[in-house]
Amino acid sequence: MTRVVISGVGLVTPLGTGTEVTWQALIAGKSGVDRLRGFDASSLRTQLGAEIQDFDPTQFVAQRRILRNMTRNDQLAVAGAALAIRDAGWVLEDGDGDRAGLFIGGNKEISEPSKVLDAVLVSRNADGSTDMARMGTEGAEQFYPLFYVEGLQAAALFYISQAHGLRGTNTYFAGTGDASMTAIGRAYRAVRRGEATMAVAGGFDDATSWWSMTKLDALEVMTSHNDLGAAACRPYDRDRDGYVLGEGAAFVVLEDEDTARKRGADIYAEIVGTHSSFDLDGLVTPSPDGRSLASAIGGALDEAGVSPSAVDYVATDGCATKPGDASEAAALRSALGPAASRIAASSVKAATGHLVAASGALNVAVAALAVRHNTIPPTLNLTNVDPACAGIDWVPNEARSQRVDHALALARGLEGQNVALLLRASD
Amino acid sequence: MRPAQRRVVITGIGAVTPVGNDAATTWTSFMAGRSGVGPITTFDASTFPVRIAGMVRDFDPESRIPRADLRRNLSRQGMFGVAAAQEALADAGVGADTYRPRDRGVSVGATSGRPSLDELAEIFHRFRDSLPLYRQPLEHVLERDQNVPAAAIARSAGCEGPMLGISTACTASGHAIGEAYRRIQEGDARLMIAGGYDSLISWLDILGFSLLGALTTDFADEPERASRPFSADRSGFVLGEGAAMFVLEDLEGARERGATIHAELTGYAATMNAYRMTDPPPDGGGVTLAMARALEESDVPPEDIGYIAAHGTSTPGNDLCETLAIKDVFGAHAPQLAISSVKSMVGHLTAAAAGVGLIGALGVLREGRAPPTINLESPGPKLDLDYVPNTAKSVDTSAAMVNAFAFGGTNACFILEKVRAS
Amino acid sequence: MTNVEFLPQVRSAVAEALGIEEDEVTPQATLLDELGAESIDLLDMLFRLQRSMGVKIQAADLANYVQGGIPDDDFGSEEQDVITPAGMAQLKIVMPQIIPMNLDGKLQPEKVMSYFTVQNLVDMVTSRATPVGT
Repeated sequence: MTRVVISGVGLVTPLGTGTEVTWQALIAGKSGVDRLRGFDASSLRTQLGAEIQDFDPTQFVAQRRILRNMTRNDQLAVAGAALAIRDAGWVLEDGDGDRAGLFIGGNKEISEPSKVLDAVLVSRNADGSTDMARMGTEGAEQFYPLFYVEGLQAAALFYISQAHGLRGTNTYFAGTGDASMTAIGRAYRAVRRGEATMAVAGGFDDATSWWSMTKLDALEVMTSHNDLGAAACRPYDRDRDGYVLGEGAAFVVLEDEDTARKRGADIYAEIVGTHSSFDLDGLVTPSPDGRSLASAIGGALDEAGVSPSAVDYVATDGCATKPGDASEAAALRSALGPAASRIAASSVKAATGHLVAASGALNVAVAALAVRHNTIPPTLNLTNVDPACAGIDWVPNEARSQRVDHALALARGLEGQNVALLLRASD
Repeated sequence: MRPAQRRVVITGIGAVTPVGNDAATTWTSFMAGRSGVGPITTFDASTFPVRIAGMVRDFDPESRIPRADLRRNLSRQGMFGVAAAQEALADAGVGADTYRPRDRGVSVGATSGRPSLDELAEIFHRFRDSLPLYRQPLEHVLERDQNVPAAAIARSAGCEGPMLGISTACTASGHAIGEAYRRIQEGDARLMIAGGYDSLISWLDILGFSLLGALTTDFADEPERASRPFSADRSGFVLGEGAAMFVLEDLEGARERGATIHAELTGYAATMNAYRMTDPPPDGGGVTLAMARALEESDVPPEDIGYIAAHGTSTPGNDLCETLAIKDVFGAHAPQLAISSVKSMVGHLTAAAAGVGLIGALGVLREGRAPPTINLESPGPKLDLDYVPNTAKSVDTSAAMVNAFAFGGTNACFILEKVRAS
Repeated sequence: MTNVEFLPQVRSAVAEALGIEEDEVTPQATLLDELGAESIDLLDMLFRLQRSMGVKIQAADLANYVQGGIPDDDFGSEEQDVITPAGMAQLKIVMPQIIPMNLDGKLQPEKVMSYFTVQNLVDMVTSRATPVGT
């Protein structure tokens, strides 16, 4: 059977623009979480976020014309994909594009609000009501005519395919944490079955934008400990009270092992299994028993024919909500059995923030980097492990050097999705 | 070597469309060439550049979705989707013990819901004037979340397997059905509820499409004549709303439980044009590639295909590009094909469009009759294939193709066959 | 008002819509072929002109302007897939730069807009901005 390997990783995170800079910061225990600066968040319950400072999209998009209609999250996606392709050293020959796939997970909802804000407000009366008739006339006249293509949810498929000449199999999964890991899992299957010879896959999210923040603020799933700054997001800790959002993109390049070896690619790891499951009672809050996540983990191990005890590292979801972390710990204990306490597991969300739709792909990248470097990034801000999260080695606060032959990456979605993906060191 | 593939069949159909609130009524309307396009009723569009669309009428959520818990936080399109899924599950005879919960999954194509004008204006007003920001209420966020209806579908049938939400605009349900097909082929699930739901008949979407010049403004006073795929005087599409959902399952399982099989899915391909955001590629590009790839995967000789459920949007560019691509792929066989666009009757159901096309294609295989392309008195230049103009016609075939294309340059195509005896 | 006065505004709208420098937007440059405009770029240009000059032009107006009200069937011949003599006569009025190109009997209808230049757009804006008879 065709073996599928990761030959490129592209990261744009609050810890830096680039895979190496992000990895070094993760290992050094740095955090990108701070007070939000992109907009005035003082009226929100949560005023923290992990923003990318000094992101320059012109490094990744040569034509200003193309850039003009790209929202920030599409820019992040294009940057992440470009970095992954660059890292893989992949140069598309003529005709290769027909067998080059692209799978993306995203959570994009709208076009750049500033371009349509005034036109929408044309319809607003002094008393706060709106006038639909005026919207259809004066409002329509003022509306930026390209807002609709700019707002296209799957626009990143276009920008990335067009920039790199990818014309093969594809889709765009709309979702949260699950979406980008589903995308990578699908790309893996596409290469394995010969539907594509190479595929670019990953996710992106501008979760710290004012629009996204005002969507999640009322859910009360984010921390309210604004005074704690970078220490506010505390996965698996007794004192955790929710996550902090982060913005970014994570992409990988997948190809079949023979092709990669022939062209002398530097292989990170092989993908050997993936599985997804759905928690029927998991809308917003996962079921306490973690059964659904355990099923995803079990499925990924089964596909690879790998026993739980062979797993060296788990890049976890660990988003620092009370029920989320407790159910994840329960899932790991039940899926990994007696081995659970010996396996290193960590969440990078205290360092990068919750990259939402990019978080699943980020965990795959973290797992791939752990395999390459035989190093495990820490779970920051973990002082007192919550009894509900006991029984797992969460690699608190400091990175650890250790051999990583099998690494598992996990992702969970807002509506109850659970996804697991297993990597193995390529021999 | 490839892993063993499971064969995949369609055993359940459900629909809510502008020409019928279930699959059977929709099919009957197709056969009669009935249009469901009329005045927009979802908001006051009287001053908008476009005031007509394919509207779902007399839809009663409570009778179609009796369980109140499934109706929670559902948008209009979500109601259509959940209702169509219930119908498809009943049609397939799926019960609580049909496969293990982990072997059942959901794959839907949809679009993110839109805020009301009142709410969006309030959100923007507070932001622009530096007032305390509007914290969007959970129930509004969930109602716009396109995966909430998918989650309700999963709950209605106890699906604990793959849950896929896809949003590739007008290709979305094509991708969703293709992804479901792959999941069953590769053994990730034995049954998938797949399809699409959409209702872009909102103030924001009408404005968005209008400003791009994508919607026709002709025949505003004769709405049933406005959607004119392949016609010389076509000038843009007409939006439509609704849902089309299907039960896909592995052939072996379907046979074991004695399910009625509508057709077998034997080929799927998704491609990208990598050309321009909204312009179709002049050489057929990814559109040609998608059709060729789907045929290649199915192993069906092109001359065995008797019907194509065309994307046929009624825009000048799409209908020409699609026709040229069909000629390119089918060569001498192209004139023998019956090709039709049900968008002429229901409008463009966007994320649900491929699903509606599939209802037509399944009907062709089942009943040997092809739905017409209505409003086609005089085809446009270079459009010289058989588009089944105006009246349904007999088509004796064992294989059909369904096309879906979108802004952003994604294409999906799949092949259906009557299930073979062996 | 002469059309020269509109050149700066058209130039600026085209440059902004295409993300290029204004000096690349010469009057002789063709919008689609040389400057690489896609259909959505034309919409963007027209929107910018509307904001800066108050002249409302829709994308469909461009083709209508070029065709000068001649019905499709009389403008292009479907059998031969070329612009008719009547169509060519009209095109030479609104797009005089094609006169020396010897396109008679050769120009395909779908290629017409590829010859449309910045100057042609300036002329069109002028005709829209200037009331008839003044």
